[in-house]
Amino acid sequence: MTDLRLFLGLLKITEDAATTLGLETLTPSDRLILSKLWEHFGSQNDAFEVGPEFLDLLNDAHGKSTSRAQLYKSLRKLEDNKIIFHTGSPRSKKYVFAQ
Amino acid sequence: MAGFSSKTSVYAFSITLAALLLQSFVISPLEENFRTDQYVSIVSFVYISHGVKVLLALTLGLAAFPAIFLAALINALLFWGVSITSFTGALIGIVSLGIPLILHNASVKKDLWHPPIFNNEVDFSALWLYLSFSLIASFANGLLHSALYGFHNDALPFYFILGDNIGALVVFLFVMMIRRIILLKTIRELG
Repeated sequence: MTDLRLFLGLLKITEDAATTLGLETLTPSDRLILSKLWEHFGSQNDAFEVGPEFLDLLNDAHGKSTSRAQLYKSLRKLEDNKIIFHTGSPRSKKYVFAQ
Repeated sequence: MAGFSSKTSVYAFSITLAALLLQSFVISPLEENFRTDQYVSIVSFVYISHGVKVLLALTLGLAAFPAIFLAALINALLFWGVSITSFTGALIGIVSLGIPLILHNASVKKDLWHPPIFNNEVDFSALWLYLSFSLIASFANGLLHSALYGFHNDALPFYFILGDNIGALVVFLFVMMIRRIILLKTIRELG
């Protein structure tokens, strides 16, 4: 935990400042989905698929309902922020993490 | 004092030293090409190390000070050579930073070494806290450096205050620009 103080502190400063300056991009739901994506797919270098199984996994883990609409809205926002990239055909559900 | 791992010490030391070396060997020499004032060899108008030190003080508290001092001393020895000015300059850097830290922690009734950014009991703006720390530390830094140089230069403290705070703003803008990387790095470390 001690090692994370620097990163968590910087994150807190930047997120708080982004809110103050009206530059906030990721909502708490976006961050929750991002952390779950990283937990499950962060170790693989190739594309991962975000389908209904991931949605089930997300809801099982947190005991509350995340809708499909929220999931895809968050995925779009993570794409806009260049944290993940969509791959394959326009209708595919495959993504990769930014390197 | 709060626990401080060697990994975090290395991070704090490396970031501070990198900023100081960038300052001494890139930014300051560049400034010498544009400035004609008599203080150009003493003080920079874009002192980025000040912003880095403020960020470390906010996130790590007093525990960051040994790493900051060591990095500042190494940079001063490389840049100024072995002298009392090198040692005193490095010491002034942490003393001036310690003043807002101690004042803040005392005012919110926290331990004096507490990292101010981690305080769930008080609602505060991190941006304004950063700017406040930067301003107070720069005032102290300017006055103490003026004393170091014998109070001969009347305008010197103002140069320090201006350079420190412009540097702090530059660092803040840079950190905001890379906040996506900070977010990813934090998530990776958490994993």
